[in-house]
Amino acid sequence: MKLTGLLLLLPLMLCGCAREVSPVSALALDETDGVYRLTAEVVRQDSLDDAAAPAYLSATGEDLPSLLTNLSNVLPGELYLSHAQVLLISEKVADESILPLADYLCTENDVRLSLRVAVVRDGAATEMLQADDEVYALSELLDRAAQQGTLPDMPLYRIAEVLHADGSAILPALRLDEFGQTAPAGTAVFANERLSCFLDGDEIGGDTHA
Amino acid sequence: MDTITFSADLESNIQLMQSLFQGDNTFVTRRAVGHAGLDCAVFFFDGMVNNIAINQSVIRPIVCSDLPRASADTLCQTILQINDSRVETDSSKMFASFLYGDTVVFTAGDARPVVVNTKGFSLRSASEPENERVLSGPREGFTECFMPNLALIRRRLNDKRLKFTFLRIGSRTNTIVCLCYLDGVCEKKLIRHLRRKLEALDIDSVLDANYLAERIRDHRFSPFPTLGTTERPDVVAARLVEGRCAIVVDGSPVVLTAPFLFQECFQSNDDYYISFLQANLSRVLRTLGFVCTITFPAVYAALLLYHRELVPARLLFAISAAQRGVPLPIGWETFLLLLVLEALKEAGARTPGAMGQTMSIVGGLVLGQAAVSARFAAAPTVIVIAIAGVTGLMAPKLQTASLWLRFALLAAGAAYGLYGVGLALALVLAWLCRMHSCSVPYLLNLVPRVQAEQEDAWLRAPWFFMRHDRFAVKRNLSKGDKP
Repeated sequence: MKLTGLLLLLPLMLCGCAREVSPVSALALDETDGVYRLTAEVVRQDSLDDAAAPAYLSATGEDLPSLLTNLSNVLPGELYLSHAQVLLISEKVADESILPLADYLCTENDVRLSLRVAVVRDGAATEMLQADDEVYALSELLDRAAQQGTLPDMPLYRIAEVLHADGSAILPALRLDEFGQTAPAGTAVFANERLSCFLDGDEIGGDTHA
Repeated sequence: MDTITFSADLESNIQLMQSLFQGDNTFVTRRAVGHAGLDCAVFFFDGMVNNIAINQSVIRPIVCSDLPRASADTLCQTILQINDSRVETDSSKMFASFLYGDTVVFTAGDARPVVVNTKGFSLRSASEPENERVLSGPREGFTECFMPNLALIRRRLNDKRLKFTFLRIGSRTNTIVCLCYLDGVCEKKLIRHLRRKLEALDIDSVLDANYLAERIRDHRFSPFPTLGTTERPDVVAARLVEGRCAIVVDGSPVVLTAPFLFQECFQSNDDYYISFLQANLSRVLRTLGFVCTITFPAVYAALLLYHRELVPARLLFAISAAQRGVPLPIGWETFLLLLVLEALKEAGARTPGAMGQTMSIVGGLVLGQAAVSARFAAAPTVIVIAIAGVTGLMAPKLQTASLWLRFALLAAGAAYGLYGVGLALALVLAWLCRMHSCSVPYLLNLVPRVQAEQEDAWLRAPWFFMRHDRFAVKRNLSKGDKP
């Protein structure tokens, strides 16, 4: 009996190393003069009575692995991407080949394959990420638009799939409207893995007003 | 007791009896002499006999007798006016009856004592057992008194095939144990198996049915019960009809039934007395309750330690917020709260009625709230433990199994995540598959095989769909079984 009790207790000793995590709900990727800037919307909730609120932390780097490493260094807890639902990329980032980005994210253990990627028109992705002060507002907007058919439904796994097939893809596009709010802005068309053009709602035959 | 030989001399028999029970102030010797000289000595224990019966049926007939002398047979057959008396030549049997409340009468000139049934100790009423209450149905329960317990069973089974076989176990207590079964319905192998096990017991005392249960049950170290226990005569009657055996122990209101199958852990007396629709819902809830009580703390710890990605985002944020500031990791926190729950249950069970309720309120509400406020524990963990505690009460026959499996699965979940929980559950299932009760597979009927046997397994079929022989428990002797 003593041995059984000891065996039951021993595994519990192993579970003392749980770390605090910094859950990320959305990411924004910008590029300025060859330097990338990754901004994470980190969810903070201090007590059960409080609502979950976003906090924004940024890091710069040469490529995505170094960006993620630098970002995790500035976070209070472990960088936790499993609950990230949106990645915003600026037009400048989209002008380069996005296949390595999609491939890297697909192989990252934490990142969900259902992560939605959107292109930000006429502005910085970070600026759009910080425009909303509600957690998951962007992902809810993209989900709703995909259900209604006003924006393409392109999760990460599908992007990687179509880019690998023939290098062309369509991604949802967003922009900040005149009131500073996030609004659907048609479709970003990719050819040869690079942003080719934007199609507005009229051109694709749908209503882009959310 | 060693064999004692009596003589035909009444005086020497009286001296012998008095020397045997010297120092026992409840031992009473009454000399009764008839009109014509019939000389008898009556022995009994004060408090254990029916005084009216002794006065009217034993002493008065002797005193009023016209015979100058009488043998033990004459005394028994023509003088004593009582329904149950016998001439006993076996002294050990005589003393067993005497110590149990019978009266012994010696007559001058005969060495053989007459044993008269004058038992008359106080009895508790056959009230409904506290831990087996029903919403509707019979409300009688067994008491500590042996014969009335057997009468309660016989009253429900008016069948000439109902057999009560007596044994005496315990060198000090010499307790009467009764093996009950329906001849022709219960398999003879099962009767022989139980009888052999009971007769093989070499123990000093049997003060409760559990003294026997732990010794004769299969898989003695398993937390899953392999012998049924009940305090209700209707349950025993139902089990006997199903082809099982019952073991009634003198002095205990608990009756053992064998074999005991896993499905019985989720059955309740109410299931058969209320609508099958309601009964089946309750039975499903009981099964889910057991699964919930053993897995909930383990899955909670595993999810938050290893599989946070499986927790919905907003729930994870709320739990993380609640965990902030709690000094212990989730595994240890859950483990310690489970211990607190068990301590509260123990304290509640040991404290007297009204105080026990106060204890539950103080323990459950005040202590829980204070622990959360003081950041000793997180509110979600307290909720998980509370759910595990409440659902654990839904299958009372599996409380021991719930207790141990809760801790075992928690350890597995805390160490190896959901894979550990899955592996531990698979091991438990394999263990259950290997178990048997009196050579009957423990999971009999839970795996679909024959339609008729499924009528009262996971669910109870309506009475109008049940066949007459639906209950028969068929022993399935496998290779290694030694009944």
